[in-house]
Amino acid sequence: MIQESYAITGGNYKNAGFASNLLKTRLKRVGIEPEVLRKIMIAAYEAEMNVVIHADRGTMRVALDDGYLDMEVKDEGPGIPDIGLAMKEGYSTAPETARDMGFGAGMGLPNIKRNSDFFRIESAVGKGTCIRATIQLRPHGRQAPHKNSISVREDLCSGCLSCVRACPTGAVRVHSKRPEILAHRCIDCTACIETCTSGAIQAGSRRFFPSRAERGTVVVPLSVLAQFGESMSPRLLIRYLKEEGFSRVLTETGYKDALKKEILSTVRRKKDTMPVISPVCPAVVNLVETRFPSLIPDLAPYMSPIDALVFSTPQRPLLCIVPCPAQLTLLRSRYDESEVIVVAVDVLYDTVGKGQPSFGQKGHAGRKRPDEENGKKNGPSRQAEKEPMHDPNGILVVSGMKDVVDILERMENGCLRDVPAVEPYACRYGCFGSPLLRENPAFAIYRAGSLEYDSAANAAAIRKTAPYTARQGIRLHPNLSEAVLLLGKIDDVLRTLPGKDCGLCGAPGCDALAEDIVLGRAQVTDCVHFGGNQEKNP
Amino acid sequence: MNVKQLAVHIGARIYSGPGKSRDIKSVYAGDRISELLSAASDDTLLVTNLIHPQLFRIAQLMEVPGICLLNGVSVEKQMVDLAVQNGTCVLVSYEGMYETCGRIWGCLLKEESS
Repeated sequence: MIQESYAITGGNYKNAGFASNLLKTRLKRVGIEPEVLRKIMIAAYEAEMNVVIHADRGTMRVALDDGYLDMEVKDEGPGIPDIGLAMKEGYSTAPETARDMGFGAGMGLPNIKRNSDFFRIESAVGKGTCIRATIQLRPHGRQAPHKNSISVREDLCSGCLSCVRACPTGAVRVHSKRPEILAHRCIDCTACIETCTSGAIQAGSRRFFPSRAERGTVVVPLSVLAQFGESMSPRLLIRYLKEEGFSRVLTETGYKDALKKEILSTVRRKKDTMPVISPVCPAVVNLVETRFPSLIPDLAPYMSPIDALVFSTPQRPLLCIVPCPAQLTLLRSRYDESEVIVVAVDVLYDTVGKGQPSFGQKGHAGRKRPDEENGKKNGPSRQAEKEPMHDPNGILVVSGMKDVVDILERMENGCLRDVPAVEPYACRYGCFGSPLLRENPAFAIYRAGSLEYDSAANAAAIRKTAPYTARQGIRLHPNLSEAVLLLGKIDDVLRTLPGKDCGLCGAPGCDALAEDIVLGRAQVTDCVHFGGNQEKNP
Repeated sequence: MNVKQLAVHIGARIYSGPGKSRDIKSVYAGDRISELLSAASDDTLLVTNLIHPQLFRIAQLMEVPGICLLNGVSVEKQMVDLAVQNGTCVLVSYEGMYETCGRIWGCLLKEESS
């Protein structure tokens, strides 16, 4: 445990930042990861400058313990009359002199909050302000928040709150028209993107195509191949990609069939009567790990088809064009960016057909031989591809997050014992229905049926080496005793809330709002019933 | 592209130290300390109208490879020395923010496509 204390003098712009700098030198010696150090430095500098700009004097106390850094910046100054307002980006009370120097952008407190894992501010007008921030030192550790690929554009949000209701794990919050996705809860399914009409929720992607030199083998799932409906059949798209410099175009269909076979043989081997859950959709695997941990033993321990394909393709660098955030996250977390480049499907929409006048002609040329394309179709999963909602082997195929949650809930209650296996997809119509895709899913499935794919001889279901584990929620505070205290506070706040779980505050339920209030994400006044309540119980 | 090459390409005066060969992967232009701070990293060039000791303080904190000042301003030798000691190069462009950023953009784009 290291403890440091630094004095800060208000109004002294010349030596401002000195405490942060001393802290940095100390922390560097401890050997903290650069990315974490960056976060600490931003928080420390902003907190220090707040004292310099607004207060007479203050102290920065830092405690470094195993796994986390606690920072407390306390000052003697005017205090903050309205903390909610002060936390708003762009709001500042800095004097003109400070603004001339580039301060007073109203980003200080939000910057500290954004860069810390735990943040609390207390202030008394006329006395002073105290900021506490905690930053985890090992963000990649077990307790670390999960990375996800869904991002938010606040400026587009219309505040309709439908995403809050749609999220199966309660990961979305919309407080004052500002959607926030709690990474430790997000499972990268597409429920929120699907329901969002304003386009504020998107899947983050590297939006450019690799340069010609980087192009080697490319993995394009069938659902993506079938996106260019009338102008380009899947087969033509493959030809186009080859002309564009990709040496091989691979698709996951063979691996999907292999996985299905393996699931069926798992069913035969399985002793109890619970259905086997196919890991075909990584978002559903995340869902089980997060919300249905009791079903983890029923998840078949195999890689998802895309994962297996990437795993068994030795070529590097490998470009993967994926249709959904779950696959984006899965592949990005597993492989280094220099080896496997994972992009969302939007790059293809941006590239294919743009500045390609010869394209339409090619499309026509392709359509001249539909007989040839439709002639030999006896691939094993052809039937399944055409009608993804029906499976001849008695597997229950369920798609769409709502229905998947319903089926998993029933399984958890011990029902569905006569079903041998469940194949759940987060998106309706399976991967074809991902909201990142633009083509009508039914038509895309129809198109995909025309592709004569190579049911690669080496395609096989690959066993997962790491077992599934229940996803740990994030601790309220890295320090256990603090976390217990916070838990008590959350209960106290919850008792004052109406308990209607109406969701109008932007949190999915009253318990979620109580947690948000205690963790500083929301205020009691966000509750629409708050005023009425007060009148009744003065 | 490293700091020195970039300075040559955009025609800026350069006060360089050991940091002149460090690579620049991103550029951020702005006149507010908070924004510069949250954008700064060890491969970011900051472009700004500010000339203030605090600018050099954040450069030191975030180990920024270079700061580009604008309109051919003159900087106190003391400040430059401090920055250079900490491994940050100081560039002074003779153009305003718009023109300078345009030139930098052109350079980096050319490099990316080559």
